[in-house]
Amino acid sequence: MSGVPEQGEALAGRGAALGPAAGAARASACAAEERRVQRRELLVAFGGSVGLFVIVAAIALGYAALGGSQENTAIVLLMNMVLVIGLQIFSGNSGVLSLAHVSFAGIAAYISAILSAPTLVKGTTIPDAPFGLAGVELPAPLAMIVAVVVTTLIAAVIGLAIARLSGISATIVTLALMLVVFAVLTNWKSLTGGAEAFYGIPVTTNVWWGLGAVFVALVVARLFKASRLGLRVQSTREDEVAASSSGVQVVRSRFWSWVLSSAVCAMAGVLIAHFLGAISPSGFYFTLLFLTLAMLVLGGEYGVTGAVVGTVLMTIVSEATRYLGDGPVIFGVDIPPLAGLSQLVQGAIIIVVMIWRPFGLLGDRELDGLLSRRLLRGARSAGGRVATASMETAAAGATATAEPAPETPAGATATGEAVPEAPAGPGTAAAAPAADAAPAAAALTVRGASMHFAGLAALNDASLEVHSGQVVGLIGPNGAGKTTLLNVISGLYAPTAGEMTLNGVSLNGLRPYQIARLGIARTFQTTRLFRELTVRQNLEVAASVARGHRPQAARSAAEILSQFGFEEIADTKAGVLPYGVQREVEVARAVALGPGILLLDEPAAGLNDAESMELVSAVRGIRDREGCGILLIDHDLHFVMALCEYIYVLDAGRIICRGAPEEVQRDPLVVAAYLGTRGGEAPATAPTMPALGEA
Amino acid sequence: MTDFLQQVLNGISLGSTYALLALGLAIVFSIIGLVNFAHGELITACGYVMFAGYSVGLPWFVYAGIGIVGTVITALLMERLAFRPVRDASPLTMMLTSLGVSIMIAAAFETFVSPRVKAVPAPDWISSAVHIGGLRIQAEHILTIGVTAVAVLLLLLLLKKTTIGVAMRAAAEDFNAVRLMGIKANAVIVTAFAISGFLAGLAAVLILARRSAVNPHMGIFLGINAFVANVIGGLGNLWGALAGGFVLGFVEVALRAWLPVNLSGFTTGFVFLFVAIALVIRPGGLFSPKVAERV
Repeated sequence: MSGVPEQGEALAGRGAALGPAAGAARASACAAEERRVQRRELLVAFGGSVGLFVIVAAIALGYAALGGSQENTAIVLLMNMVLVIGLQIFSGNSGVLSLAHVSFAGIAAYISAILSAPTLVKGTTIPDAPFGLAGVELPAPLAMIVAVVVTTLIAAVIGLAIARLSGISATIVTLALMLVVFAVLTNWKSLTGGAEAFYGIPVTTNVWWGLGAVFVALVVARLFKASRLGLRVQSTREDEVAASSSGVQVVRSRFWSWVLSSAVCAMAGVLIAHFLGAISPSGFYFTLLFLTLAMLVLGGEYGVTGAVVGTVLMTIVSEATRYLGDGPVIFGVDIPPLAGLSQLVQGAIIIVVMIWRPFGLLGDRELDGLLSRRLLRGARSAGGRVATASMETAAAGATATAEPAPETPAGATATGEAVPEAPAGPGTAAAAPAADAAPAAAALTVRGASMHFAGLAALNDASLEVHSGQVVGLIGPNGAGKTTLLNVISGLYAPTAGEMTLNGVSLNGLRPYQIARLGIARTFQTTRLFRELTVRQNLEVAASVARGHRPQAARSAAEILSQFGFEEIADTKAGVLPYGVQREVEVARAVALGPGILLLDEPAAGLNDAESMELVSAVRGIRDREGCGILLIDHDLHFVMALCEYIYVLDAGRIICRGAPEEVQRDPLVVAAYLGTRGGEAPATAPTMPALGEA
Repeated sequence: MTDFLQQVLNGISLGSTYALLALGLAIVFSIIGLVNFAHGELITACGYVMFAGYSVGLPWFVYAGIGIVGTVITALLMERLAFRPVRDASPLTMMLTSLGVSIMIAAAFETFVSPRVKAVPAPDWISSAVHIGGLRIQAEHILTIGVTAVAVLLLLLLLKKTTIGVAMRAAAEDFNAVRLMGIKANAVIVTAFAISGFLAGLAAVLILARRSAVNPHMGIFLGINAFVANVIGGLGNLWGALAGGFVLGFVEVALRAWLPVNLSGFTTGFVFLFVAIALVIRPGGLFSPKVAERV
């Protein structure tokens, strides 16, 4: 730490506790602990999928035992279940509705059909098939494997493009994709035989094949959802911006869920082909799409259990409507006379579910979750400490675990003690360059950042730096460009000009997730939590990124939970928490990233004075424990003066002043900017500027 | 050259109907963020109302008018029964709801009327044509283009000159602000659906004048085309939707006219491939600037 004057010394005192050795030890202990936790979670999830499988198997085998058409219904149930579970893997976790997965089933069905149909049949149906396929005749199981692999590869290529899209755009592309696949299957006559049925496919699918596929699908889907990758995909579903700012590579995680789900849907497709023995393009079109969507939506697309329950219930409904419609008993091949009836019911079910239970009957609940939560609750209440998720406990937890807490009372000591010797000089231009001499200490530097929106300069040549162990304030009137600067630093905006570095590494041109992985964490002005995920999962998203990319700084989610006093709300969904607690969880999530620099966007917004002062000590606690530099935005001068050692004042996109709080407070430019003398109104005699004594 | 001009005329004509559909979809989307999958079913509904009018022996002008009124009522019913309850839900929930509505309407006609095609004949003068040079101009072309032009003009007047129109434009920017200004949210949304129903009704009459028949599933592809037009123009962008409708009309006519015969089956495939690629490259639509999400 040599050569770091003034501001660095404060850091030396605080950061010493976290030497490199301690960090490494912590990292390995943390990693081992996490591996244990993760293994247990996956085990529980696996147990859950086995449990589900047993139930499904009992239903299917029981029904199949009735023989005849009942057996076929059981097989259809299982095949549809595989398809719906496959769709759940992508749409449920990523929140992007895909209409194309039915087509992947179709592609796989056709590949397997073409490869396995007897050459004798193909000689008459598709004699001119390309690649000499008319002369190929693979055994059914081999054809099925090849079909699944090839379909997955095709899906992967398409996924490279689709994973970049989100929301409605993505859905529309999948719709287009479905129509394209249908057009190809119908019109590539030399390969598929066109719109008419492709027949002669060896019929091999029976209940056991169906059960095997369901087992694979269940385990894959459930383990994926419980896995770290699955969790990341879910975080992108909840909030893409927050996910990428927590280090999640949105496109990549979405891509893998797309590939996995396509593979499972392909599996369903080959089963269908080898069950029916004859397939046509229309079998993998709107009718099947609507059916699978109704199934997924009814049970709840966020969960694997929901997919299973929805499939079973919709199958019962379909059977009932078919009975009512008095159609022939051939499932799924041709539209029976009153097929309109079953679609009528499907449409009605989708509407009713959307209106009354948008997350389906089960939401994201899983069988294993229901069981294990009951077990865990018993275990936890034994040793659980009472925590009433409030700012109070967060602060208490913070100081409790902090090693030496140098300045606990937030009151009078605040500015006096925390501010190291203010740099010499009159508080403006000359102040900061002192730190330039020691670039290693300036963790984050921003040089000349400008940001123009369609000609409007939101930021104009703004420079600042934040040192490790320092709490820096960024204040300014509304619209001064504070949040824009934060967005530029965290990579959400690409600045028009300027240069940013973290510990000497350039941040320019990096994506938000890359910047987060380098150790810059942030919160948002309006909280952006992963609302449908639990508090623990919210933290785990960031903690898992830290483990992968900054192991020396990583800590387990459990550790953060107890540090913030969140034990009691660990398994509560973040979206249902009261406002103040949500803000804390967001801070905790940022801390879980093990940041070198923490950016807080108006952490005190909406808090009363007492809460603000508690926040002061909470933020200090974080700084002391993490040794990170903190840059916080607020326009509550009181709060900022009490907390920050160094302050930058931003006005109309320019840094108009910087220095220690008392210097900034005296600066006429700041007074003018804050009280609006430029606007012409007479400034009241600065009553809103807090006197140091009371801060 | 004449062939080219002929195709341009066909493109404008086809594009006009797509533009009418796309506009209706865009108005609703711009205000409540609903991607209405059931928009195409409005055409189906119009077709069946017209079929009913024809069955009882009414003249074309009358049943066309009743058809348009029926379409507006259908749109209002959709809003009241299905979309109002999910108005504040996520876009995904709204989209799935509309998918349910779409499935239900098509299935209802299939179940309660007939899965088969029903005749909705157009008067003879519609297919009459004049020849100028080598160019064949049908009454249907003139009618389509004229009706579209008048409808767009009326819409423009409504949006610029009436209170409700101004409120709708404002709602497209910031709905909450409009509510705070004392304008009833329901009034704005109901008007939007009424307009989208009216435009769809006009389009349906024009489409049925060409096809002379209705079936339960005719709406879905037209609805998808309206979608595609919106996507091309940028979702929720009214003039983008209008332009997107024409682009789609031209592309379709061009592919149909100049694609080699052995590939003609792939026309829709190519259109949607084009759409998919366009969207991947410009997720916000071809005509809208890239907008960064506010955080």
